[in-house]
Amino acid sequence: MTAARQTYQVFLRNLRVLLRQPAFLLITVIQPICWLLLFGALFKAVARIPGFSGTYIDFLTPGVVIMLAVFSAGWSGMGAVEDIQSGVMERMLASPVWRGSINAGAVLYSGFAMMIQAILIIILALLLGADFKGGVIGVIVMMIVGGLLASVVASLSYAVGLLGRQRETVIGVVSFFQLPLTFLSTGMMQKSLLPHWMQTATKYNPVNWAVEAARSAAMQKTNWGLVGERVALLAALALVSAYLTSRAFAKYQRSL
Amino acid sequence: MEFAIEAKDLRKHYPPDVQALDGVSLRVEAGTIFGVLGPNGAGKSTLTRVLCTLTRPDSGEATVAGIDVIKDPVQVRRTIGVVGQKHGSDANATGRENLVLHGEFYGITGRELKSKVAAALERFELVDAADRQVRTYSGGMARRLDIAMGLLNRPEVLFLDEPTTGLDPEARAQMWTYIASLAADEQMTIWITTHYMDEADTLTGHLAIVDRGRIVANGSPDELKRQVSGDALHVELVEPGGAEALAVLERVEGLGEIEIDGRLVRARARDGGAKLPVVLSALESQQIAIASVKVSRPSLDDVYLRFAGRAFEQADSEFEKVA
Repeated sequence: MTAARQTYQVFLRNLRVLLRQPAFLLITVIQPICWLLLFGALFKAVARIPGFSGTYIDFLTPGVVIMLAVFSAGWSGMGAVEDIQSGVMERMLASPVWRGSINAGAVLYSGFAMMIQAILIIILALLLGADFKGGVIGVIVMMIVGGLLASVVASLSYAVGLLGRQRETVIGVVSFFQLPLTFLSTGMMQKSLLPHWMQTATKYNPVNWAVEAARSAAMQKTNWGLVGERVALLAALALVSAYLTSRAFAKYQRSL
Repeated sequence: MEFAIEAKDLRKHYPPDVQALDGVSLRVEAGTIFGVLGPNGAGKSTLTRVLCTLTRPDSGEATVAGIDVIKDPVQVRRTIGVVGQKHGSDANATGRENLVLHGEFYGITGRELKSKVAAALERFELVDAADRQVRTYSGGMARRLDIAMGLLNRPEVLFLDEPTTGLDPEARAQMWTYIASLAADEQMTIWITTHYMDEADTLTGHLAIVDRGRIVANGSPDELKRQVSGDALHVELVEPGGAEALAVLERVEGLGEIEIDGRLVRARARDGGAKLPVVLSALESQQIAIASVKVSRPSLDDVYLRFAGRAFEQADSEFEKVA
């Protein structure tokens, strides 16, 4: 109860930062729109390649939703670095606050920001003529999948922030992983069109687990077996990541 | 409970070769202001962090408010208030929001929290700035907010780690007033680390001098000063003195460390006030004219030099060279 309350308070604190920085807010809103339009235009021809089925906007929408989960949540660790440098972290750790709520609040915020962006994308995709065959339930499942992936990424990024304690470290580590993980998925390109070794790699890529689950739930005749399996995998990964972050906290505190 | 803080043989080593705490033992009486004075890098902050449960010692034990900091850190955290060296407030949040979030961390909620926050803003003269973001605060205001946050849970022991570092003289003086009134009004135990001699001298009732991870002296500022060889006597002569003045003064009993530098005579005596007339009449008996005299109590700078074996500023700059 107290833990949930404190997590919510940390979440509110993060949300405040977003709302008080108009530039940040603007980027958060415009980024998904840019991506959908940009990638939509860039890869439009993909749909004409033999072997591609359906329209490209239908294909791309879940891909962009999941990409956003990776990219926005990736900066969670910057918050950790800022709090360490400003002294906020030390004050939080000297209080009896439940340690988990410090990360959980940040994770919750990343999930929330990702959902807002996803809603914008869905509205834009509808305007562009996307056909959400999964209906409202499918869309909700897509958002849950995105939220789970965002929480995995946010936790790991937070851990990097705690261990690295420098903005440059977070930027380096996060950007090192973001693009390869995105391109080693079927976010923008149908699996059968990927080189063979990439097809193999996608099997082990959590970003691709999320993309396929989101696509199946929202845009296709849903394969609930696949979706259920992927949701379970991502949820397990989210827990493992949260555990790793708690280890990073312990390590950080030992070094104080 | 007799002692608010007790530490026994605390040691902590940071790789590769920094022995931050090298066997620190101390006791702090409840309801007093206890100062920890030392140059940068002496181990003050590490000691404070151990007692605040922010980090664990490699060995040794400690209790705060009777609670073991290693076995029961959460209970210790509930009982103490901590104001760190850096600001602990969120610059993007307002003063009020910072206080509310901090209260929630201590499990204070609802109406109780609201009234405590209002009272804290009032007490630290932050009412007008309460709903402004902290990034717009002056250094002194932000520091007041830090202390207001540290006090929100009515701690038994308040830890202040260099609370006035970086403040301008006016804000510093104001901070001293607040700290002194806290100890008087709330009978709280206050632990304050500082590397300002005057701050330790003005504020604390009891002082530990720390150097290289050890406590080198321990007592009230006055006691410590009394342990230094005595008061300093400064006599200014009308004419440059010389062998004659030196010979006269060397015959005065209980006078030591006599130095003559042109017209200036310096000496030390255990009780400078009582020795002064003797010195004056001895000089006058030889027709040596005196322009002015001054007796000064030993400063904490003298104390530091005596116990740490090096001047305070020298220790400070040595650390900076290493760091």
